[in-house]
Amino acid sequence: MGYLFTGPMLLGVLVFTLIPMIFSFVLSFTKWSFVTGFDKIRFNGFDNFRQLLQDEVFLKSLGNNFIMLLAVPAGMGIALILAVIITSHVYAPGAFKVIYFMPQISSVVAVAVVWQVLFHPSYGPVNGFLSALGVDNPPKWLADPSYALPSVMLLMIWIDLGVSLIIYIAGIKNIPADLYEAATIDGASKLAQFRSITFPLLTPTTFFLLVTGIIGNFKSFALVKVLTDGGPAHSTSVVVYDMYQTAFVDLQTGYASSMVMILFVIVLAITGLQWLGQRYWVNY
Amino acid sequence: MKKNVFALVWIVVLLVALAGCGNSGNNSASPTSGSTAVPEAGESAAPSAEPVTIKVANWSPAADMEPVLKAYEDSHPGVTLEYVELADNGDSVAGMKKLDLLVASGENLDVVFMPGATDYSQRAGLGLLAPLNDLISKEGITLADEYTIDPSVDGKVYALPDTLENYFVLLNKDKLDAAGLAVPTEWSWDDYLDYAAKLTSGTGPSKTFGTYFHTWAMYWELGIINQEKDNNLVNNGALNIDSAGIRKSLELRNKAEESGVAVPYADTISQKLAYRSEFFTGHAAMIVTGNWMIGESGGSEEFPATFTTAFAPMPSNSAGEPSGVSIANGNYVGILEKSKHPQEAYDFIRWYSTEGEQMQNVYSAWKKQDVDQFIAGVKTKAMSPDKIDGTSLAYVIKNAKPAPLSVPPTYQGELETAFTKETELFILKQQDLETTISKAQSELQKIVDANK
Repeated sequence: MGYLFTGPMLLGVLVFTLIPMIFSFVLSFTKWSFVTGFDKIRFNGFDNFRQLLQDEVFLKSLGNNFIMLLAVPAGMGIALILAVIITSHVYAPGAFKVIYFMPQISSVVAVAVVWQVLFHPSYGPVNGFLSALGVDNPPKWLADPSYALPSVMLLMIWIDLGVSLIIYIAGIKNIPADLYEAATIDGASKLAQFRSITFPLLTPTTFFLLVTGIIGNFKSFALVKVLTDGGPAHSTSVVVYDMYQTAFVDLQTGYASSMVMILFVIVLAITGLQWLGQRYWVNY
Repeated sequence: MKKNVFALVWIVVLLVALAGCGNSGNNSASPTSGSTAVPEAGESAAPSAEPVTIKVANWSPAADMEPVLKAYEDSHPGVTLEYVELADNGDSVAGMKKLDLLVASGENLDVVFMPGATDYSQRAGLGLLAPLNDLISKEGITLADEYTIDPSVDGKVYALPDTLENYFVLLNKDKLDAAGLAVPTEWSWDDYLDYAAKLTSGTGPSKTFGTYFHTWAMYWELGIINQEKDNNLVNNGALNIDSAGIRKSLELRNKAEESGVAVPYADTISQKLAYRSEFFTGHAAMIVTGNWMIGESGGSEEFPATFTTAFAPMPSNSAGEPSGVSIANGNYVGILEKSKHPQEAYDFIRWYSTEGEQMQNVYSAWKKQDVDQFIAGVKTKAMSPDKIDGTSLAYVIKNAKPAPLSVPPTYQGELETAFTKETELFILKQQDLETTISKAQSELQKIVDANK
């Protein structure tokens, strides 16, 4: 009987996830455009992958993806500090949770548009503040090839802060209070308590956030699309964005599928490494 | 019992999968049946007794298209036209995405419209469109006598030119009068910069800039799109980057940027500025743009006309060369390769790209179009006709010299992306002019070689 109940779900997974995945894998070895019909599929072996290794835009996007990964630990660090402060050291912690969670529940498009204005190169408040401090040539942020990627990463951290914060707070609440009591009686300072109790007991939470954060980071698309369109000069392009351009603007479905395959292998490898590495630092 | 249920579920799953495959089998079969139908349809066209339905796909609002389609049905009994609206707000980019999805999902469209030569040649290169050479020679016309634009890609014609797009300059006449400047009739890019400087005024967010250059690739090619010949990045397989025209284009942009008479490029990309709002809100006093803006200069729902708009011809590269030369681009209308009624579809696109255009009062690539009637039509249709400067409009249209556009290579989109990347680095002061030219030259050469 169980199969009858799981059947609809299985069917959904099969038709909408598994078959497309296998299809995409097959397509990565072809030269094909999805508008031309199935009879025009031409298999070309590993040509796509060979071409990808020389594709400057793709390599740049992949590099950007790896730089962007820095946003995950940075965001988690900030979230951890805020979580500790919010749980024990402020009045009305609920209000702070809401404030930090706000960007997460707002639409990415709306958030991006607000930051576009804040980052306005000539009249924006960010640069207004900097020139008030006496900075002569403030960066042009989203329009500057060397600052565009950090600006996008800053926004990513800001948007995702709420989720990490809430999960960390939940983790902190789960730490038994008697550990802190014992430590206080032994005369441990607040910092020592954090180092020896809070941080080690939060490692499963940190591990969870790291894995999901890195996978989520590799998938970042909406923010890049709305904020910069991958520009200026591909400085904020990421693999998923490059794939979108190739598949739906240049209409090269086969080539885009091989990008996806590379991304898949990389994400799988990183997650695998993390699983292997966890026993050295995660305490359950 | 459990096993049976399990088996049942898997049978259902397999059936669904098979049904999927079956469908795809049909899809792959239909183009072949479509191509074998070509002679059939040719034979049946002679009696033309059987009623046929032609599906027409365009991004224009249905309300605009239906009167024209109705007129065709009335004069051609036996033909029913079914209109497929590709976008709900007249957005041609969204329309093309919808078209690709419809075609991919096996929708039986016959006639499709494409906005511009890049979209057209890309789809022709993918083998999506039916070659029209046989149908054209059967009708016995010479395309060059009928249309301003030559739509052939590698010697084959896959679509007929629909609207004609050439470029000119829109000017805010109120600001021009305030600065004591006349509407130019003959001018060069140097004069253009001079005008831009005189039209720049104010400071801070309310500053009026002399001009605004949009992000499109054509705004990095202003010194070649005003040429009679060799007016694309790649002409007949030869690169046109290391040329006086491209240098002129980049220098023009750089001078405007440095002297602060053009909206800064950093603002343009980081704020995703739009050319309509920049011009119609008076933030920029001049823009280089094309015919589709003629109607809009009389005001639209979104941007009511608050000032008089004047028209000036495309500037030349240096004094003495003729103004008003610009590449002729436009919309294209073709027939899908899969179409089962190519002859009827061809008859329709021939009618649409000539008399149909006249009815819709758009500026078309048909040589026999009545220009005076077109200008009068623009005025009667406009929301505020008095805001269109009729004298300069008539001058610009009658003195336009549409340069024959060789339809770009099928990889034009890739070329433009690569070129824009280098020019962006130039205008954002990341590299100098010579580096830009040499890097663009080698990047584009790679693309040309890869597509040989």
